[in-house]
Amino acid sequence: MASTASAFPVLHERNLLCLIHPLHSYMLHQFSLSARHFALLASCALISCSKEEGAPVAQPSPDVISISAAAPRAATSADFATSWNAFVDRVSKGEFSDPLGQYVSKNTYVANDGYKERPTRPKYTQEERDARLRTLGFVSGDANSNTAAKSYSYQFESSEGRGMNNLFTPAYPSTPFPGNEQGYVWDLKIVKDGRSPLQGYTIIPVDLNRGAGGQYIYLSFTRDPRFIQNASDEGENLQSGPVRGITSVNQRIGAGFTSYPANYTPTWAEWGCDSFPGFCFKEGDLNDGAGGRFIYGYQSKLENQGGPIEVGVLSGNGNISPPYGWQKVGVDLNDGAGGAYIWFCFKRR
Amino acid sequence: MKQYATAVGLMISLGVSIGNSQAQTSSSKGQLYANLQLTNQRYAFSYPANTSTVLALNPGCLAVGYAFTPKIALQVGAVLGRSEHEFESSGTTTAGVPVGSVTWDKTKSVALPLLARYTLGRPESKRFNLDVFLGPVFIHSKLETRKTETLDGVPEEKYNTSQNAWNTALSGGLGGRYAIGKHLQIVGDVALNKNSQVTQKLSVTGNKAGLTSSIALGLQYRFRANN
Repeated sequence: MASTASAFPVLHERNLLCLIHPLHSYMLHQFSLSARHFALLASCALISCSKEEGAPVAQPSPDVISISAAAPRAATSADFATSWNAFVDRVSKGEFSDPLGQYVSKNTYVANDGYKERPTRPKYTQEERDARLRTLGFVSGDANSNTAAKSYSYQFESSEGRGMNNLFTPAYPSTPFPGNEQGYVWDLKIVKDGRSPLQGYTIIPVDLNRGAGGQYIYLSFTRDPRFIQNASDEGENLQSGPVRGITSVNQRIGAGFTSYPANYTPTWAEWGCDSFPGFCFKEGDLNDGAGGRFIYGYQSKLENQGGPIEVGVLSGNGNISPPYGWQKVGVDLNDGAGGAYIWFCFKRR
Repeated sequence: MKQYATAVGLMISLGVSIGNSQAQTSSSKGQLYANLQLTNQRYAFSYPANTSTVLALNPGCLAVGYAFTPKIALQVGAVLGRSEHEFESSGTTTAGVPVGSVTWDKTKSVALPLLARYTLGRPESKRFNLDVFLGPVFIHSKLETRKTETLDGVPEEKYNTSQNAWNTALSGGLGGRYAIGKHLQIVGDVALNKNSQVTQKLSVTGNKAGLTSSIALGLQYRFRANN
């Protein structure tokens, strides 16, 4: 596991070598890059190099380049989206490296002590990536003619249509939830540390660290008040009820040093102290293991935030918009950590 | 913030005046001290409009104390905190009309811990001492909130509020002191805090007991030299 210090750009000879060797031979073979091109690329790609220490640094395949730089080959936006998703997935699996250091494998892990600022990775929209790669000599051609490169790709998953099964009456899954006949989203939790979701909670299947290494982190929700853990609903009523707001906040240092946003409480994450029931939840850093800013999720059940909401997660390769009816809110959940652009989203019921 | 500055000013005046009086009666056994510490103090807090939160107050804490005997002291401190959040949402209605919102809040807070300290063991003969402490913490916080929603470019203010309140928490913990000179000691405290005015303990603090924590590390100046 790479340390914090070695996970980000540090001009150590060792770091340089780990990238230069595989990329150098590959690029010379594929592109006949000049020495100037290679120097430029190396200086940029160092950013992701040392993060892969301890794991084999995969040879970039031609697919990497075709997806991240030579997007004109993608015939349609749908093709492009498929290509981009495949690109991120393959980098995440460590099958190859992103030469710009924005996307990294899941083996990349940045230590997290919460008391000081973490180093950051570069982040580019798809247009910026293509321009950068062109500058570095990965692809030739007029940037303005590269129309497909301007296509933004996204993945959107939400609570709509999910978590509707009433686990207490499995024979009649559509039975309304006692106390929540409308089937509203009743509580949010973060799932991380390799744990399973809490009983009765449903995961929204988008990794909140997508493309940025670190832990697999998910937003989960329940519609059944009987399953709620560590929320005001356990005998406390002032802030109970459906979820009416979701947001995220980024900070330079860990959560313990800042106050919550007004009217919001954390989307708690279980952390596994099973022997101390009632003390098993923490504010879950949504960049845990990925570096960058410390990011925390919050929910509100106060009526002044508006009507009950459905929640979603939007992930993409630029400043994308959510589908009709939805709003994205808060900060990029990968802020400072490279990877995909990710936001919490909500839709009023 | 003016009232908080006044509170800190009062404490300094109190420390100086006690220090002066002590200098005049240096034969007494009591001993005045002042602490300047880096700190992060977290307190659950309840505002009048049924909203509860956790305040983080940092980074500095000033305290003055009086050791009535080598083992027993009373200490009062002050720590200020402020925070500000702003977050936006943007998207469309199901009909494709642009919609968005801006939510903003700002808090200014002060905590005044009044702690009784008891030194474990025989403090006279040791360079390093351990204290236990317990006492109330008086917390004041002012919260301003504002939310504006925009539909198709037309803004509408949803709320614009200001509220403030005093809460009292109970704080207890363990402290260590290491003498590095006749007047100076390195001091550190860790504490757990409980505010019984916050009823939404689980959702606010994340634990059933409604506990939050504080930590402090810094220097203590003893106005009369240790022997």
